Amino acid sequence: MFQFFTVTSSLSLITTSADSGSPGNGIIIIGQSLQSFLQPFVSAVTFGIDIAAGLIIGISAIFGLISFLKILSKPIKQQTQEKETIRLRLARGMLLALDFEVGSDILKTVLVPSLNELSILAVVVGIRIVLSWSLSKEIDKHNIDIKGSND
Amino acid sequence: MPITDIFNAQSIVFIVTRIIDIFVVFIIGVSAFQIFVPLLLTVIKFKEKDNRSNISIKSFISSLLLALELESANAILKMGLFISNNANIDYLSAINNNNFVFFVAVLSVRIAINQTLRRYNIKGP
Repeated sequence: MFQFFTVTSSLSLITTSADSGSPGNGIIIIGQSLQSFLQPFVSAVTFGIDIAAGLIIGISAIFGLISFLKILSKPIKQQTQEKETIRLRLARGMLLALDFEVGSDILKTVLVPSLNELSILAVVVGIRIVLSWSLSKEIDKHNIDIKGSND
Repeated sequence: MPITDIFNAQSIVFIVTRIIDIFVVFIIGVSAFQIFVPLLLTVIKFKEKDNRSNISIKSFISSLLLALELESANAILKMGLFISNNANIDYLSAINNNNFVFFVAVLSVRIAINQTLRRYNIKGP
């Protein structure tokens, strides 16, 4: 209800400025009113995405710890390989959470399109790309090692 | 303390990151304990490092890598959930630069270590 009044009051401002013959000011006010209208929705969505990323990491960490406890009874040689499997599983969860964070950061640039925010987004995306590449190499090597030990 | 102060995003992140830190300490502690006895025996008997102690060391290294992975997950959490008030448009002022630097540093170390270790076979003799 409050947002409705904000939008209608902004619209009345637009009408006023249009009547006074300054269309440039009208466009600015439209932009500002749209931003103030969108801001709570975008903030809520980014908050939800951040919570989802946190849940993914939390669940991955719990499953990782449970798997670690399960392998403690096995021989040490087998534990090494199992730990690598757990680590890579956790890394995949991290990568998914990082994807969520990238999405959240993109939405944040909608609200605050500043150079600082864009640079943070660029760094996060860059790290995600390098992490993904590194993880794919590690998974390939791990699969080769498992195949070699099974043969 | 009001309940709304307890259950905001920052307190949730704080609790989750502390729990993950406990996991990390537990993993490192258990792994250190596992290799302690074989290495101690190696030292006491003045033996050259045998196959068993090598396997134990490799197991410890894999535990450390698992702990580093958990800390990387912590860094992602701290990076993403530093905004406590979702109605605060001026969140740039709330960015904790330390969290961002920690995020970049930990993930860079993780990538560098794994790429270096990939060149060496640590998964077995």
